[in-house]
Amino acid sequence: MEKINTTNTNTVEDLKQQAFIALQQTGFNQISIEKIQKSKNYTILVKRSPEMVYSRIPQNLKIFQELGYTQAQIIHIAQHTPSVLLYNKDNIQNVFQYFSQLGITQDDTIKITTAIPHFLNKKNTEIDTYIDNFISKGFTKQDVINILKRHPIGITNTSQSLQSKIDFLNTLGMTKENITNILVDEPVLLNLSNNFLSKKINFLVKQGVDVNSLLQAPSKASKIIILSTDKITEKILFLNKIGIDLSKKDNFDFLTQNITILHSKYNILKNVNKHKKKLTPEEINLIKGREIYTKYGITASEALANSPYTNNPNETKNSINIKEDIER
Amino acid sequence: MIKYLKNLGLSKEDINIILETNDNIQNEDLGNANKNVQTLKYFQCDNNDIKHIITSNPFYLSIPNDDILELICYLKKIGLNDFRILFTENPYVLNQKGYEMQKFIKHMINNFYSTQDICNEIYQNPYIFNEIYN
Repeated sequence: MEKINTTNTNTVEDLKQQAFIALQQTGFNQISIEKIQKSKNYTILVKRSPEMVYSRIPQNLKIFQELGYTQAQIIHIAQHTPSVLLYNKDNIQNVFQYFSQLGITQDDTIKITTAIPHFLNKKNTEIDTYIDNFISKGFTKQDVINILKRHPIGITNTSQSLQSKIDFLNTLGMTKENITNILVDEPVLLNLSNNFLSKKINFLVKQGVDVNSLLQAPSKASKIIILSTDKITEKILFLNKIGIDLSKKDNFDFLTQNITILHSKYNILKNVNKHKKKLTPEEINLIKGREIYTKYGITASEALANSPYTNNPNETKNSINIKEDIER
Repeated sequence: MIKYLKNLGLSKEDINIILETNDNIQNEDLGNANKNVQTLKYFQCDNNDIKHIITSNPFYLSIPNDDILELICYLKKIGLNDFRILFTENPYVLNQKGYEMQKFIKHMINNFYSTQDICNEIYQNPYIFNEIYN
């Protein structure tokens, strides 16, 4: 990324010019610059203190670069929250310092603040309020840090919304410990509404899944609940077809596995047992693990290549446009 | 953005789920969102896969496209090539950053996995990243 020149100048017009040059050097296009200019805080502050606004833009862009944000991340946070360009640099640096004290790496801090740019203007006590909200509901500090790193937005839940989620999971018969585990294991659940979760649970019940037992295994439940109903249906149809009884909790492992892989392994079994009308439960059970490959001398890639789930539609015109980016 | 989501074939209910989970999506850059969708198409995701990924992971369209490409670069380096399988099985893997993937790969190599083994593990268990992370 090109380094930004932040030479001091005297006039407002010079500062303004310098701010726009800095934005352009960082890769902002005309549309994104106009979006920043039209933002509420920007217009108010330009009227009140243009010198401050124009001098902070190059200064903050430089700080973001020095902290390790990529060009795309800088543009993203400024588009998302234009005020980041006007934040006090001491506040920005303080957030990095405070997160570091919490054991959060610089890379993780960039990830967190790219997802929640306004965190770059938070005081330590304000960050503590978010953390304490979770601790007061039974989470450990490490749990909260894990949530913050995995799914930053999850941390912004209010006390009421967090309590409402815990109460809802409690009505499903989950213990306090399991509730904490499921939310730390898959923090995106913190942002899914209770209404949505309720529909998903009812859907699983209708599909014959023993949901009560499933919810006692938070790490498995979280992986299934986040999938779309179409994906769950696809999995359940296939598993039912090959005789997996999903009312048995021992079979939940099948639900969290990759359906394409499951199908490719099932094909191996069918091919080596052509003479049999029906495979035994022990044989079917083989598709859970990896031993099937060594047992029948087939590699995972060979099995995968024959899976009907591996489609290959023609590339679209637009997808070809980004081909170079992907292959760089 | 709503119009864009409708054009992708998402139903009113799907869009409500997305808005409920990521209410900021309406303010996201449409150009970036479209690049993220095209990235999925490039990896052979069809319309149903894309609908599934976006409704399962409503934050996907908010991620800077360069971050996604960087993540994919790390996966390509170890020889992973069927991204459709990975993304549809665990749409949340797309929220990971390149440096996290690098850390994961380093962890596996330190535990004596070859790159081929790592790919097999990822295909077998698309949630392996979360498990290592926690």
